[in-house]
This record gives sequence, structure tokens and C-alpha cells, in this order.
Amino acid sequence: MKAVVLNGSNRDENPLNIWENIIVEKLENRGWEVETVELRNIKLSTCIGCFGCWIKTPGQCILKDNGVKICKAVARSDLLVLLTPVTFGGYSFELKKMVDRLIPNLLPLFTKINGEIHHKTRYEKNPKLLVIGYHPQYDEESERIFKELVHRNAINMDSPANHAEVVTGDINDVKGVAMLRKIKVIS
Amino acid sequence: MSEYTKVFLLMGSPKGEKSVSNNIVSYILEKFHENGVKAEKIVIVKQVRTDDALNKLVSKAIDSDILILVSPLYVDSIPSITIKVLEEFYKLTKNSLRKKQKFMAIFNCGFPEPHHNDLAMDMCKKFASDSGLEWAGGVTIGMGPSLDGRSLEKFRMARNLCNGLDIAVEALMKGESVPREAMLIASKPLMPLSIVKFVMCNFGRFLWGNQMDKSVKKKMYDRPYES
Ligand SMILES: Cc1cc2nc3c(=O)[nH]c(=O)nc-3n(C[C@H](O)[C@H](O)[C@H](O)COP(=O)(O)O)c2cc1C
Repeated sequence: MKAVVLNGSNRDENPLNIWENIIVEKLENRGWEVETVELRNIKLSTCIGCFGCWIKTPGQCILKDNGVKICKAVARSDLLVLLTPVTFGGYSFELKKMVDRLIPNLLPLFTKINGEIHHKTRYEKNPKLLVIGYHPQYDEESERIFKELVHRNAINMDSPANHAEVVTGDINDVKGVAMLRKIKVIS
Repeated sequence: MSEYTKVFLLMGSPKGEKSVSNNIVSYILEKFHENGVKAEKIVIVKQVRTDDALNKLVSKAIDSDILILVSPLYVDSIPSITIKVLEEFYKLTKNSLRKKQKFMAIFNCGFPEPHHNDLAMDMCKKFASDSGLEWAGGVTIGMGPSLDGRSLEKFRMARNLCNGLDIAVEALMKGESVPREAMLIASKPLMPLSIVKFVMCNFGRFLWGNQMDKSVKKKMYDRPYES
């Protein structure tokens, strides 16, 4: 089983980096093959909205940088883990840069899901989605938006399962392991 | 509204000026200008490449009295470059005493149902409350790509949107928030949803195929990364 972990933390000492270590360790102990990417440290352009990945080179972004490699790894994975500071209830710039670049893995064609229009996915099998957001202190509205966003992203990516968690305050191994035990998508 | 009131429109489409968002911005700018109000547009994608340009953009946004964000929806949310601007704005203003400043947001998305934009709108409201801005209201537009290529008032199906935007601009000029009725009118679907959904689901291949070269059409379903 393959997992891709995208860390959208904007600085080296963010508590998210500790969460990342705990998650990777847990997955590796269970025999997962894990690829991690610290998005702030790599060259990654922002999506230019050209739809070239649908109408010029189907399935591939026309911007030839690390985004292409990551998109490929995500298409071949069983689990996509996203880590991000929660900004206004959503994903950070660092993480969203890559999330916007994942649309080559969708088809331009449409389908109805729960009566709403969405895109069909390009691949038969899509990864499960686990998203961990960090917010320094508890904020009800941020958490509501964040969880709803992950749920809607999972619909758009046709993820077979998804889980969103917003963590606050300090982190230690005991707290991390206890939280992860409850998360079905990696258990 | 005094002649010193500064209106600032943030155009958030990563496509730049050839975008639906830019069409909407142009329409709003004209309405302000017709009424003698100085309103300025900034194309975010041109101003985020260097820290210096970004700082200039954000300083101007902070300095405005009315800030209006017009943006497409990207993956159920705000496009990355536009998030960057909001993050910088928040960083620079969070601990400072703020003057009264209004914030309005307008989102357009590709799917026909305007409500796909609701979460992006919630994020904008959250941004406003976190950054000490007064939320002035929002407009959500579905089927945005059908408003591409021509000025907004030339589209018959955009008449509700234009009417709603007219009322919104008028209210903002009086120093008020956008009336709820204006937001509802502007956010009405451009066409009956059941018809649009039928066409999108059954004729999607043709809708997209028209934009592809013959040789690419055959590759529409390619899976370059299949393991
Ligand atoms: C990377 C990317 C992600 C998108 N995600 C969504 C989406 O989640 N829902 C939707 O309805 N449209 C989505 N769209 C479509 C755009 O919102 C739509 O094409 C819009 O009209 C573009 O506006 P603009 O011309 O102002 O850039 C997406 C487009 C791109 C390029």
C-alpha cells in the first residue's frame, strides 16, 4: 500500500512537522510505503487555470516542475495525507498550490453525485483522503469550514473514504498516537 | 460617499485578464466610475511573483475603504495565489488598530450550481472577521465559463447578475452593506439547472471536444500515470 504525505506547513518549526513524523512512523510500522513532500522546500508553480491537462496533454500538467511528479505519485497511491495550518477555515497557500495542481487526475467530463454536478475521475481507483489541520487554539467556525471542505474535496476526488481532524496546542507522541488510533482511513 | 473613498478590486483569477472574474471586475469598475468614484483594479497573478510586488499589493488593499475580491472557485475553495494575498493581509493587520473597512466577495465556478461557492464565501467571511474587516456581502455564480469572452452586459443570461451588482454598488457607495435581496438576485442560476445538468452530463464530450485538436480528442481518457 502506498501513501503520499504533502506537508503544507509554512515554516520549519510548525507542530505539523511533528504530526507528520508520527503519521509516517505509524504507516511505516504497518508496512506502508510512504512518500513525503515538504511543499515549502520545493519548486512548485501555481496553477494557471489553462485546462491544458484536459484539452492539450490529457492527464498531464503543461507546467513541467515537481507538480507533475507529485500528481503521478498521488494517482498511484492508496492514501493521500494533507497537512496544513488552517487559514480562514481552509488550506494554506503552500498546500493549496499543490491541491490546485491535482486536477489532471480528473476528467473534464461531468457526472451527478447526490444530484450535484462533479467531474468524473480519470483513474478507476482514487486514494483515500486524510487531512490534518493545525490551528493554534480551538475555533469552532474554522473547524466547521475545514471539515466541510475536506468532505467536499473527497467528493470531487471520488475518494473512497476521508477523515479530517483539526489539532490545536502542543503535541507529544502520546497525544498523537491516541488521536491516530481513532482514524479509520489509516487503521 | 466622499470623493476620497478608495475602492479596491482584487481580481483573483490565475488566468489573468482573460477571465470571467476580470469581466465581472470590469463591469463593477465601470459602475463606480460612472458615479465618479475612483476604483482601482489589481490583477493578483501579476503581483504575487516577488515579495516586493506582493507587499505593494497588500499595502494598497489595507489602505482601501472598500475591498472587493472577485475570484474563481478552485477545488471547492479559493485559488492558491489569492489565499496568499489573504494570508499576507491578515499577517500585516492582525495586531493593529484598523480603520473601518468593508469587504465583499464574488466567486464564480464551473459547475452550474452557485452553491459550490458557499464554502469559499464562508472562508472570506472568516478572513474578514479575523482581519477586522466588516463583511459587506457576497455573490456566488455557477456556470461561470459561459460568461467568458465578452463584456458582462452583452450576455442576456447575466441580466440578474448585472441587476444585483448594480444594487450592490449603489449600496456600497452609500456606505451601506450589500442588501440581501441584491445578493440573491445576483446569485440566481444563469439558466434552469435541470436543463444545464442534463446537457453537461450527456453532451460533456462534445462541450470539451470542441476545445481540443482532433489528435488530442482520442486521448481524452488517457491514464498516463496508471501503475
Ligand atoms: C484548478 C481548478 C480547479 C477548479 N475547481 C472547481 C471546483 O471545485 N468547482 C467548480 O465548480 N469549478 C471549478 N473550477 C472551474 C472554474 O471555477 C471556472 O472555470 C471559472 O469559471 C474560472 O473563472 P475565471 O475565468 O475567472 O478564472 C476549477 C478550475 C481550475 C483551473
